Amino acid sequence: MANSIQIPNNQKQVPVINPALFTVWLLIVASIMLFAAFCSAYIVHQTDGQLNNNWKEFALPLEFWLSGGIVILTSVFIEWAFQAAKKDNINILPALFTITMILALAFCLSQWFGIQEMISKGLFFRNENSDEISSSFVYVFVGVHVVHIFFGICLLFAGIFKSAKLKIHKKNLLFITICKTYWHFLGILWLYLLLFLYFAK
Amino acid sequence: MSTATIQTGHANHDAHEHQEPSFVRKYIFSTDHKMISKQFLITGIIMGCLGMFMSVLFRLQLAWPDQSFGFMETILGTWAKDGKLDPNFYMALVTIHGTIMVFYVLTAGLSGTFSNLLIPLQVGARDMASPFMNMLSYWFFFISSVTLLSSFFIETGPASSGWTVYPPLSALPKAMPGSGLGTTLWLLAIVFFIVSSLLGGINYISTILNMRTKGMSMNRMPLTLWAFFFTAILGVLSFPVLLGGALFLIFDRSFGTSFYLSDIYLQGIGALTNVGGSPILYQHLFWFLGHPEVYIILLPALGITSEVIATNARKPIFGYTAMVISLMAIAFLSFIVWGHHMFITGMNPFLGTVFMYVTLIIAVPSAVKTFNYIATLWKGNIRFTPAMLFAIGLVSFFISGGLTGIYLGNSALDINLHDTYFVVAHFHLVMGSAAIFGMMSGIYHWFPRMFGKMMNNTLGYFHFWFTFIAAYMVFFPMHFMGLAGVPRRYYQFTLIPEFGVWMDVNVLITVSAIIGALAQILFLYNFFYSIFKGKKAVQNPWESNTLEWTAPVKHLHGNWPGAIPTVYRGAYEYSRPDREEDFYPQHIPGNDNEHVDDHGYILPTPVRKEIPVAEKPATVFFTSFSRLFSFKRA
Amino acid sequence: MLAVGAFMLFAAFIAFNKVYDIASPSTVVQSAAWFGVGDDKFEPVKVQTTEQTLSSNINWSIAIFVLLVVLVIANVFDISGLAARLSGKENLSGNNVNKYIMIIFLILGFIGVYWEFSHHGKYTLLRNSSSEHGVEYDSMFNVTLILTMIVFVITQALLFWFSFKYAKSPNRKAVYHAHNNKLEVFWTLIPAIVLTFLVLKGHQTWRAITYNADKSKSQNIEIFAYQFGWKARYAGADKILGAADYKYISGANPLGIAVKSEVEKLKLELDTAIMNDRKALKDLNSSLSQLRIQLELYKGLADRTNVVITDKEIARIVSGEVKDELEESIRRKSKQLERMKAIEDNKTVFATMFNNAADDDVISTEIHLIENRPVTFIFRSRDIIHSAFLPYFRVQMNVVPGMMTQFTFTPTKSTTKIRSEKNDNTFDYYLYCNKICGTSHYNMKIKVIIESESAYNTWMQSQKTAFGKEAAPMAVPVSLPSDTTQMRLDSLPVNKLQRLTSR
Ligand code: HEM
Ligand SMILES: [Cu+2]
Ligand SMILES: [Cu+2]
Repeated sequence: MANSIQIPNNQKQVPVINPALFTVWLLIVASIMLFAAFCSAYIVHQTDGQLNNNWKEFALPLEFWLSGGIVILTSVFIEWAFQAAKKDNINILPALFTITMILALAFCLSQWFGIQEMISKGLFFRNENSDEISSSFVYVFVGVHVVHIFFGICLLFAGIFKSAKLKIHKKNLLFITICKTYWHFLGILWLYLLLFLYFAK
Repeated sequence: MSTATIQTGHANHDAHEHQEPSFVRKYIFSTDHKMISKQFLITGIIMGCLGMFMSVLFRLQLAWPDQSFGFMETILGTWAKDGKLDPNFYMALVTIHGTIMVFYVLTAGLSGTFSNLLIPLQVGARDMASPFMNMLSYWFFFISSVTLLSSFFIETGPASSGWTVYPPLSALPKAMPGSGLGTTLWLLAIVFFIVSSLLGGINYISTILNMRTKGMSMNRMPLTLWAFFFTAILGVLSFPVLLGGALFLIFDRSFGTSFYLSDIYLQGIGALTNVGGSPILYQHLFWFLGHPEVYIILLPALGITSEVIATNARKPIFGYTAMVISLMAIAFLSFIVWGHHMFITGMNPFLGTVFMYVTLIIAVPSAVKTFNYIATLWKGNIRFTPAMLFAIGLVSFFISGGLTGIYLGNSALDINLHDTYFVVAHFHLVMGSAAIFGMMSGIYHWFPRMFGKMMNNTLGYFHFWFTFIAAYMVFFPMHFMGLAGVPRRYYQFTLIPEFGVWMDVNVLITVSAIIGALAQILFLYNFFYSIFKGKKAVQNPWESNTLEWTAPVKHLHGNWPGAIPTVYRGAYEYSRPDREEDFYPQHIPGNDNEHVDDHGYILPTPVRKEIPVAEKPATVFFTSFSRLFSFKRA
Repeated sequence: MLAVGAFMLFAAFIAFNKVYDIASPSTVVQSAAWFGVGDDKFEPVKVQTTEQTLSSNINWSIAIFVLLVVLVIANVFDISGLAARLSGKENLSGNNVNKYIMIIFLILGFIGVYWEFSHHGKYTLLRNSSSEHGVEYDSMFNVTLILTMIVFVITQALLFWFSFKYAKSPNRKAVYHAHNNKLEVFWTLIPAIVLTFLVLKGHQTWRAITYNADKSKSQNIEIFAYQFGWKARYAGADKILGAADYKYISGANPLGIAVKSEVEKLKLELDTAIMNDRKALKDLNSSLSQLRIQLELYKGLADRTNVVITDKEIARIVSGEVKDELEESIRRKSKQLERMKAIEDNKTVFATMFNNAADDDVISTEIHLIENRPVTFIFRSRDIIHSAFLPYFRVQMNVVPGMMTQFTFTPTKSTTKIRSEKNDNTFDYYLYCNKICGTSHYNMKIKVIIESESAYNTWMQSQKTAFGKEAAPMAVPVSLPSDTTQMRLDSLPVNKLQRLTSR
């Protein structure tokens, strides 16, 4: 994205929205479609499974709710960073990026503990019994979401360097806007998944 | 390949563009959309040749099931012992043929090539929104192609469960040889492919929406752009769903989950432990992509045809607004009709009815498009360039194949037609041949733009007529086989006495297929010869209106050496009565009949005064849609 | 350059020649000459016609037709191109040639379509339905056929006619005509109306076929699909199709029907198999060393095949593949036993499943049906999705593992009748597999015989029950009102029972 073509001055072309940011939005749309597919598969299996009496209900491990909390915190910090950058308050940016990244890693950790908890309760990814598909789904949700988080962490990592080189400021908000958009999306996505798993009964 | 010389000393270029990029940056990891489009095209052509060659191999088997073909053993080794194809390998060939043609040739090769070439040039942008993502898109595609083809070199052979890879056949590695490592590679290839299409599609949408030059409002865009735009939207919305479906399949295959599996006893293994899954779920996920996919294939071809027909008939495309609306309607409807591939899976009959209703509605916008094409020819002054011939061929195929869709979309009729050769005939005409012809039309038309050279017309004519006639002779008789209940994906028909009557038809089809395949040699020769030795192209060889012909013949990074041209009118002002020349390029200023709205924005030329624009409700209705898209800019 | 065109022609020609054995080298050279008069120098190419021919009974007319087309194109091209060059005008020769080919193609195309319909149309199944709903199906089909053919003819004719009529002429300018709303509304509405009609009629037909009222009166027959074949199961003397489950499938009980004695046998079998697997697992190391010793022995022999095989086997053990396989097999079989036990433990389920209804079921390798008697096929698959396709009856339904599907219809034409109609004494109806299912998909079929009630009874009496040494069922199970059916398979799928218990 850094490679985006520089639009020469003579071109009186005013994009409605920056193409790179728009691209991120489209990626988000694609990701939403992916999770929409998962969720509809979940509902199909659930309806079918409840009819046939082979759908196991279980409470989500507490760790997943905890990661919900953490992901809200990351959103708060990245938003803070964004506001700071907007006010050209740029010397606190590296710190904010780092905190966000640590929180993101904490998020991954809490997910890991959540998975351990599921395993200890005998809720596996692999199916031995017909009613275990419900737990497989949780693994899929968590796994695919964590892949998204991984890309988010890469962004934050780049953010630390960029902000340390003072490359993020009032006049150059593109990168941090992308970061913030993506992280807010990830947060909302995880909260949505939690609520989905909680309420889709 | 033509060289992309960088003009030096131009005021509008940044300093770094003055340096000649290294070979690697220029030809391999190029971020220039024109080079990427060539990469897509060449890869697509290579894949197309492979796919075609595979079809000839399995057609030989179908025509002469008892004949031994020595050359097959030479090239295929144990897959064709004694010169006779192995049934498993037959399935593998059919599967990979379908996959290659659908995804690699007609999605990447067609849409990838022309979206890349034309979107920046026709909207008037210096490159894609994100050239880097664009480059990634090609390289993911390339990796995907290599992964898919590598499955020919493994012991158990490539995936063999059809291009739809339905589980459980594809989910159980022991169900047939191809379901082992071959299917793993297939799935991997498709995952790469999805990533590639998403990166590409997102870029296309972003560029079209955000990077149009001054004056290029949405309702002045050439129909090619509209088609690429809707195609990209379809891709972005549907490919992730296939990704989801493929992931579930990967999990079932390799991690012991049961998303698609239930109650299975496999010969030689015994009862499997998987229970509770549903193989039908995969079909839903697959066809939620699969149906939009056929439009992802077809829409760019239709867009190219619109452009080529208008240019060569020297007439405005008939009913521009209606063309855009029908593209939009087709794109929208394609998301809610996937169930027509599953009428006989035992789905709820009521659901079948719903899918039948929505499916048959698609025929309406398709019919409108056809009629508009024909009306564009009416009273035109038609120049038969090879591109034009292929465009006319596309319309012919679109009619023939589209009409059989009305049978297949009817849930009742589908009972006896599902998975027979009737289906093979249908989709090869409407999706296979039509889209290939759209691609060919595009290649002949934009070859001068891509390589700065002209292709040989006479060879193009021969190429067209051989291919056109051969394609009809291959696919038309298949309808009748299907109507007689001949199932598709059969390795041979000799074991079923009833199908004996089709033996000579099978021979006819195969011979025609061979002729059709040989005709492509003409094309390949013409193509590669012209790249190096073709006649030099002039600036605007087809006297076309669109912006891409204003850029210099020699490629340069950033497309236009000076300012990007401003657009003053729609793309289809051909043979205007008030003009001497029979074309009126978009970038030529001219105040005739034009007026400016409150925002200093130039409205399209009102056409023909004889119908008062504001009065007819129908006019108001239709134009209201086009107005919708004239996004106002700050 | 055009030499390539010539080469192309040769290639096509040689292909023909190989196939049809009709061309003589002289005609080939001649046809090449037609090309050569073009822009470039003509390079004569030597042709070698191969002696080898493929014997087949093929339509010569097609070959000659293609050939003629090629020659005509080449011919017309050269003459007009030459003429244009001589007169020095804008070269429209290509345009004119194509213009005429357009119209020739249109005419020949229509002739071809007509020929296809008259020639191959007669093999299609458009009016010889052998089932009751097939008549309705055919009328739906024919209506669609007529409507689409009208559109086909009109649009193709216009397309090619306009291409011919409005081909470029230097003294004409195209008419500037960008749209005509009335016309566009008109040709949006017409297809919309026609399609509405087709949809409504389609809906009616679909309803008539799928919401079949005869279901309660029909005879239930289970059609069982497996890689690669079909079995039919009849209810037997008690007129009840017994329960079945994939877990009970064994070599002796290929359909897995719920027969107590068979299940006991299977349990023993599984126990033994598990024991053997365990033993093999324990002996893995010793068998490895044994194999190595053998390998040394084989290496002394001239024949390498044994070396290769043994090498492979050793590699499989060393890489842990064999171990994994054995463990997996143990796990799978134990699970199966566990689940079988769970059913036994649940008294009500066990009683419903093992009610002896299956004991007298008849399993056959042919499907026998009674003429004019409604029948419901209940489909069950052992492994992969198959599809039961009976084209003559306009019947098709997917057969999906883990899910029961069904299709009710009434066959109306007996095998004898269709034989006399087709004038073919060997003709038989078949049920084909029509969903790709593996290596022998193309040969997965079962014979279907439609006969009179008495013939059916005779056949049924000659059948044996699946496991009984008992004599053939005396009472012939024909159309069963549903109330006498204690447990109809479709009302209480077995896998639901199994799921009740396997929690
Ligand atoms: C060179 C000309 C072509 C020939 C002779 C040809 C022939 C065939 C035949 C005979 C089959 C069916 C085989 C069977 O069911 O056993 C088939 C399958 C298929 N073809 Fe083609 N084809 C050609 C070009 C194309 C093109 C351009 C497309 C692009 C859409 C295409 C897409 C497919 C697909 C999707 C299948 C289904 C594969 C499957 O059953 O899984 N083919 N082809
Ligand atoms: Cu579809
Ligand atoms: Cu089968």
